[in-house]
Amino acid sequence: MDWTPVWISLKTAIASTAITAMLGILAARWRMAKKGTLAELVDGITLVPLVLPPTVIGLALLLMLGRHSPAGELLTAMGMRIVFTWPATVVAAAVVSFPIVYHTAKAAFSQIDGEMLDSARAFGCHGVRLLVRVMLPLAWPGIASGIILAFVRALGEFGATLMLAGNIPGRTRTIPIAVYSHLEGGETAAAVGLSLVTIVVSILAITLLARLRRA
Amino acid sequence: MNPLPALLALAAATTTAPAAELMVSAAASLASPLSRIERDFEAANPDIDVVLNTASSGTLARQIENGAPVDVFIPAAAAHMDALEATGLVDKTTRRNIATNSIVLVTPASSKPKHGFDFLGTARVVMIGDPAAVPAGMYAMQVLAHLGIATTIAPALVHGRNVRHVAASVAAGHADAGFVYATDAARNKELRIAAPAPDGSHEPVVYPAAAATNAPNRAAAARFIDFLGSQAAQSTFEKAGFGHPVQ
Repeated sequence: MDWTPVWISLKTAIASTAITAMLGILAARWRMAKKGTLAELVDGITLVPLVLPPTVIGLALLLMLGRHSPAGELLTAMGMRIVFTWPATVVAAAVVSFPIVYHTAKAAFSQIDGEMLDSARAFGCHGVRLLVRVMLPLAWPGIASGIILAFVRALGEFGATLMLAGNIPGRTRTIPIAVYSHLEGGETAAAVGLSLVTIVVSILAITLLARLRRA
Repeated sequence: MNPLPALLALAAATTTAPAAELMVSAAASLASPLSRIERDFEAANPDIDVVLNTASSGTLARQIENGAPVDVFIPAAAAHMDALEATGLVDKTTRRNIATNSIVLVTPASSKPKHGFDFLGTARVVMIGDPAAVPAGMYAMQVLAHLGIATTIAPALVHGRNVRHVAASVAAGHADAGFVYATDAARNKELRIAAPAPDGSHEPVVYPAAAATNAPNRAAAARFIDFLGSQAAQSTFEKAGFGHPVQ
């Protein structure tokens, strides 16, 4: 029984969540200071990966990062590639889970009492200090739930990952891809084993989520 | 003049009995010749509507195992047919070989031409079908083992869902090289053949056809399999680059 997909999935989900947590919180913070059409446009565009079929997202990523795209040619010139490598699993996972962090963080920030922020600013707290010392702690339960959901989403990403990162045993064969592969090859026991691991991890994550919500 | 009798006569002349469906599950590499054969067979048998279902042989075998209403099964390797025969899911009295093929190593036409197998040592991405479900991948592993490079290039191997997927990925330049059938290389202008598999480096690529035991349309299945051995069908396979079957 090959358990490497478990380590690959965990590595990918952790890397992806670290990126989406950081970018999602910063983007949501930026959004709080803006109003108007640009801000609403950003809201709309960031919702797209959440509603598009993963295979369509995979196709879009292939067209944007593949050999014959502008980004792809730049990478090739530097001797690098994204398609069919482990970083591609992180890219695919991050793209589909970013909307979750962004929109949850945005909602959490907007729940903060404006007076708290005003008094903090009156005491000379601005910018990064305001974000880290005041906003994040106040919005933490909401943001943490977003991060946990993003992690679980990254763990379960299949369609876009399969297209961008491919099925490379020991390198990009995440749990969902391994389950698919085992089923195609008639290895049902292995598929069930990996599925059980995913179910257990997901239940743990959801339990943690419920605890946070109650806090 | 009363148009009704004429209209009724017209309706009677154009109404035919609904065509019975015949589901043919065939290996991805057979898609092109089979769509031509499907048209020829339906022209000769207007009471049968062929539904072509192509995918990797492993995927098709799993579908049959899980009860899919398949009439004819045509995998790209005897092993997949043998497995279903052993579990009684195909009728071995209807089994016959209908074509053969060979394996080639291809590279993208858009990259520098390569010859032989030596460059595989430095290739970053070499694509083959997933050996467990895709016969082309199984044959590819045999070729690599024969050449003694299976372990050295293992880190570069990427598994494709079926041989068409492998061909498309190499053609698009996502892979530096890939193993596909000679017939796939022949029909795709964006693929360049680096080398044919050496003689004896893989077991013969044979396509057996048989009727499923639980085929919804047994009679039509038998007619279709007979048709596959006919002059017309064999000529279609030949034009697509397939070899003649040996029983």
